[in-house]
Amino acid sequence: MFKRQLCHLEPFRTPRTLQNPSNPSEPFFPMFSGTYLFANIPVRIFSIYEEVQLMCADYRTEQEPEVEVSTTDEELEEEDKLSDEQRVLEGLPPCKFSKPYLETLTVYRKIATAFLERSVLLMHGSVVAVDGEAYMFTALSGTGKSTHVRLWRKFFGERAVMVNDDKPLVRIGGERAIVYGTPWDGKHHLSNNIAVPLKAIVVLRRGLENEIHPLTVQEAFPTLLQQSFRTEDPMVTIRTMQLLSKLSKQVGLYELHCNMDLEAAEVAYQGMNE
Amino acid sequence: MKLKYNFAIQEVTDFWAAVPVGKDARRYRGVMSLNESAKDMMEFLREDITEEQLVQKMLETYDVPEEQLRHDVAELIQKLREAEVLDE
Repeated sequence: MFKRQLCHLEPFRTPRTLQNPSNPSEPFFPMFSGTYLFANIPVRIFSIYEEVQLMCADYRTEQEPEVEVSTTDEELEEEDKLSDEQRVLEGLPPCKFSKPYLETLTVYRKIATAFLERSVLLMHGSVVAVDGEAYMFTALSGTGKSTHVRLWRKFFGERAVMVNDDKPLVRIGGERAIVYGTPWDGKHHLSNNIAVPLKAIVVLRRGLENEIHPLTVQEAFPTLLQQSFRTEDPMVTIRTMQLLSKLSKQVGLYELHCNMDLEAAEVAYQGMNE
Repeated sequence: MKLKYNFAIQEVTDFWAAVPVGKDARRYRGVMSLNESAKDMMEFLREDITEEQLVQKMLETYDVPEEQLRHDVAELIQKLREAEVLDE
């Protein structure tokens, strides 16, 4: 489908700002580059493989980049190890991913790191907007975030618009938190390039009955932190916690126990709009 | 005794959150929520310290009855032991 559609890519040129991280004295020649607008920040991506550029095509911008990211083969190897460790922690079997896919992860990790100081946080969750306000459902992988959000789309029909099914960006610090669609949108590729005020974050648990109640910040915080971007760098963790602290004051926090009936969407919405 | 991991400690709305950082972050996945005095005790526990020394340090900082402080210190240490984040 994407056969050599290079028209959206910038003409190749050697970026002067880049150095080869593994050997600074040698010139560095990334294969592909393009500039994209994520959470209203223009980002230039230099990549070894084409896939990440194609994936981001809907977010292309003509603006001058504020952030530049690039990858090396060594970093992709490291990403492979990291994603295996992550899967083991989540109780999933290790899996061999392709280099182009690993590059999409490395690129997003770098963007997320650069965005932290710009008050934009990468979170793991499924986000749907109804009547212009967004609801984020978060939980460990496999709990059923995407399944629950599918119920919202079924229940609300055209009133529900998908923001992002997996890894949205949240801008924190303005009057309201704003959630943005991104091309890192899960295995069903559900997302739109839109920005919507974030009304609530819902911690999802499986249950027999459908029930929703508010959480205190202290109750919600462990899940919020676990489902937010952070690295081994202590300063990154501190920054993430600072942003989550602000975010917690700007959105409703809830816990939803739910089954897979359509009623689950109705109960959740009513509980947050009384 | 001292903390087994390097913790990042940050004020979050009306409490303090402590999480291990660095390589350690991968091994311990929990988040501890602390009040202000427990946060200060965690700071002292970054260095090797006895329970008695910790009580004395806290007495220098907080104007509360010694008995209350001994109880709070013992309670936090118990919590840290249960979370298996203390080297003794």
